Amino acid sequence: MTLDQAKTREEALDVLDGYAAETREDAKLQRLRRPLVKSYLLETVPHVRTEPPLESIFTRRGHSLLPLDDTLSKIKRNADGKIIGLLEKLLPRHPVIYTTEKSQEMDAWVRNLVDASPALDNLWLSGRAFDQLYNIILATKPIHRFGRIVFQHQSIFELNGAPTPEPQTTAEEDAEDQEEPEQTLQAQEDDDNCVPERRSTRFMVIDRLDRLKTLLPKMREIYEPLQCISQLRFPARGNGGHDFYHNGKATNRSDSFVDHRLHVKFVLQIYKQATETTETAAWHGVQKSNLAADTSGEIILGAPVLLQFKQPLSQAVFDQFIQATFRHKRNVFRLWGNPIQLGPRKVHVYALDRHLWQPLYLEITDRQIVVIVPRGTCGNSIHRLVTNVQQFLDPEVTVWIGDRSYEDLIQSASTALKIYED
Amino acid sequence: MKIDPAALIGDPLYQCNLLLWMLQPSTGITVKPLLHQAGYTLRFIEPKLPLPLPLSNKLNAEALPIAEEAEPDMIIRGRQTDYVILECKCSMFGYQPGQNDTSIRQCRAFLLQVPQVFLEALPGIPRGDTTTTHLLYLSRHKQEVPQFTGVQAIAHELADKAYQATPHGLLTLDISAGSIGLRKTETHGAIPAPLASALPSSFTALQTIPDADTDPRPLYYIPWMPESEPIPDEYNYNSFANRILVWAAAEIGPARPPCDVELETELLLTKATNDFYQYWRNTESKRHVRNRARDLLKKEILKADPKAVLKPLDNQRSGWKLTLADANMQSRIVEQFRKWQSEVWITPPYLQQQELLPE
Repeated sequence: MTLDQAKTREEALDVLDGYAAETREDAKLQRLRRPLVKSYLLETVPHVRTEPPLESIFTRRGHSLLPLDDTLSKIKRNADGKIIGLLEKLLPRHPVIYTTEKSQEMDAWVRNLVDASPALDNLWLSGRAFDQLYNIILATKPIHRFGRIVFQHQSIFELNGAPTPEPQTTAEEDAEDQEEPEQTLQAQEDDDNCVPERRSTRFMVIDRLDRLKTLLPKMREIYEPLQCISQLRFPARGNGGHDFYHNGKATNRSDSFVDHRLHVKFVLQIYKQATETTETAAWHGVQKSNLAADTSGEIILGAPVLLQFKQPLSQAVFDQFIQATFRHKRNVFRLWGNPIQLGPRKVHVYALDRHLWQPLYLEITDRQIVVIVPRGTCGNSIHRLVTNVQQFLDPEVTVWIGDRSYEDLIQSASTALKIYED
Repeated sequence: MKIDPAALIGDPLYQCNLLLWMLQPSTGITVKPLLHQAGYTLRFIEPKLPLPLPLSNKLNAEALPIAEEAEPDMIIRGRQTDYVILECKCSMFGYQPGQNDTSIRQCRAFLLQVPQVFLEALPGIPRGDTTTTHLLYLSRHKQEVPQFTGVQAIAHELADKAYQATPHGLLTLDISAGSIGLRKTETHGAIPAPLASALPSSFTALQTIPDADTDPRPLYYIPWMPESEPIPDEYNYNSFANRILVWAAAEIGPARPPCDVELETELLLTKATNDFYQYWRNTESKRHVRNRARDLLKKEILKADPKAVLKPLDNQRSGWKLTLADANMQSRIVEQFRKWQSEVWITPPYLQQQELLPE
């Protein structure tokens, strides 16, 4: 059976489960490789805003949703009628796309889908968030299992280079659907492309968890970019694992889709809890007094979000960061705003998250970024900011929501998960 | 744009925002969360505190005029039912019997907020047998003048006439060793106990002044409002315009042209001020700012696209219905908003009264 033929939830998910097992078997026997099952973890809007109709978002991109039940739909490409995947509303606010199409095609398609809709965003897993997920892996998985971690950092605001990240090669994207993409790193190094003269790290390690547990802290002491995890593998219950990427993609390298879906859901639950805790703590605004006749305001103050750099930015990096971010329409932080200069290394920006079109008030200095989050602005904007600061500015940045560390918030989110759903 | 820190600490808008930062849980990197650490939470911003009629009638009969509905800048609450009425002042005031200016009438009304009076003014708050109140002023420190004698004299006068006055004190903002901080002075009355314990020495640093070239003010929770500043401050107008434009861009950006977008200035101002606009009391000021905001939007939209179709909103709503013809026009307008640079777009109404005339 194929996804085209599936008529029920059971049949559709069975197709993906069977496909995962067969793909794993193919890999073992070194038969012709097929694309792996992948999930794209998405986010819509906070509970205070109206949930967007997903159907119309897909329709605008030339696709239809064919419901199998209340939460699961097939995604049909209207041009040729092909079913390219499934969309499951796995948690409120968090739809997930499952597909067996090639990464190269689906990555671009999902990117375009998200880019075209302010009501839709990727998940943004920062290095700090991955650290907590990594701790969960160490605490819960057998230590003889293999872990896989990719670290990525590019100091794109240093002087010797354009303030744009180096694109990932398509070779790597293609290779992602193969059993392991490691060989492509060598291919990248041998590339004839010009290599900008600035710090740029892409580093992958695969080793047993007990070795990683011992070695990683020592490695991090001597090389800061290793603070910035951009991909992390959860060992599966059986063979293989589930690779999670910083932009909310997850690749199933296990033989079970059921196990993959459980891991996707686990990460989503932690993320959702952390996002909502961030919003509760950080949103601010005024609520009317409980006295109808009273015009006084009872204010709900949001705690400030603080991203503190390990070392102060140099004047050149600070200037380049402000210039590149707020003077260019297309900037990696996807921020929009008009900096008000308060000193050589201090600006206030009443900014917009250019993707979600939601305001954020920022104070940026050479030592920190302070964010005030107006009520209704999605906590995902904070996750994206943290992810981008770690990847492009300071891999060792520490983050606080009020007086609570971001890591603590994510760690608490994982322990607060309900065993049974309501 | 840079402001002298010595002038900044006398600005009640800065003082109020500093208090709000002090109330927030934080790492203290921006502002030390002193009030939060002392167990205080914010209860009200500018609540009205009317006095019971028998009390206000008696005061009037005895020629002790009071502000009828005095509005302190904020009220905070400690871990128990202990309330502190906070009032920020650019400078404190003296008092001679018979003087009855605004600050003095307001001070009398605040001093009279003993628990039984206070609970009548704010009947919605939880009651407790142990409810206490305390009046605390915050002002810029001035070594050379006695700053608290006025409040003390007013309190003595009330006591002499058998009125009860709530405990009262003054904390001052001062600059020392490169920091802005709170100065506690023995002659400045009583400080609420939880706060006094959080101020172990005569000067407690709150905020570091980065360097001589950098304006130390943090992001403001309460943005500029008419009549909030002792002297016009360019930063306030600049940031206020940016806030309006950012919320207007948040309406225009996600639209799907061709379509109409409503830019209702009341709504934009409410969002731009974190909802404080709806609590501004001066209707003339509100109208003035609303009109200036509407003009600002029109000017910037037409600058981006002279052919843009703007129609006034219906149903007596202030603002514009903007017809977005296509994505290019949308993009140009959003970009124009982003590029807006500081200019004289608003003049405080108290400096230019003629602008209050209907347009």
